[in-house]
Amino acid sequence: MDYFAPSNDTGHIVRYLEQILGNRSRRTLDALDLSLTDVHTMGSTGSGNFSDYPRGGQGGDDKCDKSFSVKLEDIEHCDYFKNHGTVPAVGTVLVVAHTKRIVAQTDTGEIVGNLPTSFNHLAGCLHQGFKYTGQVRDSKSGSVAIVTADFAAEAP
Amino acid sequence: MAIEAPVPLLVGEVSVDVTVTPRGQEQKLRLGGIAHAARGFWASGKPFAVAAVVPHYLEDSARRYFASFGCSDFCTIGYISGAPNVTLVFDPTEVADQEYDALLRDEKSIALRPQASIAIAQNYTDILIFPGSFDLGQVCNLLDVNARLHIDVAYDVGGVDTLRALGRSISTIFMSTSSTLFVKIGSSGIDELARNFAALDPDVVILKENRGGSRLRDCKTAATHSLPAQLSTTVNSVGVGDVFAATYITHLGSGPLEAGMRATYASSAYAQTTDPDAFAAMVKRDAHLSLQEMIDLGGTALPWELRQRADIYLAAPDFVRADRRAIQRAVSSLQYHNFKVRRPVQENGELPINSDALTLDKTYRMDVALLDECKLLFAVPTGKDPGTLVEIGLAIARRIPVVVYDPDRECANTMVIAGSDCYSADLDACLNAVFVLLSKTERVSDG
Repeated sequence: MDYFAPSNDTGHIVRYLEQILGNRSRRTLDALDLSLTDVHTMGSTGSGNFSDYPRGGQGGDDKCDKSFSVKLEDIEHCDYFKNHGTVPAVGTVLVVAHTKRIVAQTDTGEIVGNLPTSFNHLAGCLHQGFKYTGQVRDSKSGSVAIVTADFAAEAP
Repeated sequence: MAIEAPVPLLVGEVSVDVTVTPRGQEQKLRLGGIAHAARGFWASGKPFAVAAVVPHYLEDSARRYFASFGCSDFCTIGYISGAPNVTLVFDPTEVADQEYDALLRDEKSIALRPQASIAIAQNYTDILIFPGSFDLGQVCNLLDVNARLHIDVAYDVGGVDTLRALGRSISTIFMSTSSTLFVKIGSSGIDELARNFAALDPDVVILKENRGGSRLRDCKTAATHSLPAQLSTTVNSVGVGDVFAATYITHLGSGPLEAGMRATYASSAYAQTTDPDAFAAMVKRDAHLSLQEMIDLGGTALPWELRQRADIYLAAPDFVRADRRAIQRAVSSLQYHNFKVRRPVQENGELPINSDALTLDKTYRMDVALLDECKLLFAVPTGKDPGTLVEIGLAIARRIPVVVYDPDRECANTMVIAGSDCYSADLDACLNAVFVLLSKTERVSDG
């Protein structure tokens, strides 16, 4: 798996596994070592005919309804660190919001950090009514502040 | 009676793309050539017409296929003989050269149909052309003289003279860093490219720079705009440039910058799936974003020529007798994307076994000095090479970004994984990380 930007596009097989695993943490799925190419089976396959005709909206975008884990960026430049001089404690509830960037903020609206730009697709998802709520998994102040968090998706 | 929005005309060859997969995996086949752009128009909800050059055997199925994607009129303007117009694709993710192989390409010939001009002599205001093996001048003679031409010149255009010989201005010129023409006339950057195309009086020149985003030169104002890439896991990048062009034309009414930004998002979506419905859903999702929102969200922007300024230290057992296949894959990928790879073993020498301590010390210091010159360390720790692991540690301590490509997961260790900025067995993910990390470095150094 890619540890740089935890994939949130894992397809229907992973969705099924999440269901049967009780939607446990992403690490459980990582341990199964499923890659995107393993699960992306749609589109024209085989050499017998052209099968990738539009199916009238069937299938569709499966990136919005995925839970994900993320390491936040630019923490020292964000409201929470500026206001408190530290990072939020483990377990602090966070929500994803679209300000200029895609950010993680506390339930009182203090921005804790930016999400990497590989999560920019969440801007469209938020516009569509998806919500992402989670909590701080790990945090540390110091020469470089670190906050990691887990988020679950809620469909509109 | 409602006035219908003008329909763009899409011109070019129809082919079949076959992605060659490893033994035991099912082959992937889909309609290629201008079919990619057609999917782009369709996903943006834009009806379009087609003037196609196609092999006889493919004509009916192509007509049927395009109709299902919203093609309002399909006109065959030429037939291909002698070759099936089948392209084999060996690297669909384009971590390095995609290695296209067109079957029977030397036997291929094209007979244009002059009578087709009657069928396509409608008032198309915008015509998007993907040159091919056909005579571009002859085809342009079939087209409405008042229409705006938009041409993707990345492939099958020998030079600027070919375009100048058309005798008309070209509104939009699309170019790609993957193009051999780009290497000839634009590799120093967008300024050189715009200068070389000036005789064609374009409104806009767009340079598509793969994972490093794109640049749009507005030739009327001489302003250059960055169109950052939206990087994600690449499933198949064949045709993303074509989707870019189609989406750009679709949104041109909103201005070149917005059209370019929407094209960037759509082409990113196309790279992430080969399922047309999933692709369309992503485009629809991103359509909610305003131009300002897309600008504020940012992305990855790393211009082609600047990559030569960002030296990358290769940490790997790069020794003559070592198995260097994975190392070579990584180096080829980085060099294909114009990165300057510094190979310490090659630059500072490979020491013989039993070298004395002073010789070892000197080489160690030279390697560390080289590391200090670099903006990023790219490690391929095959065989759990101890030198590579030490180099990773040195870079982490120096806060030099570290990307570890470990194809066999030999070093899936807490310190290696968590200490590096990216650890992956997937070269595509590692390459994305290089672009993202160096793009940030570039932003910082630019103030």
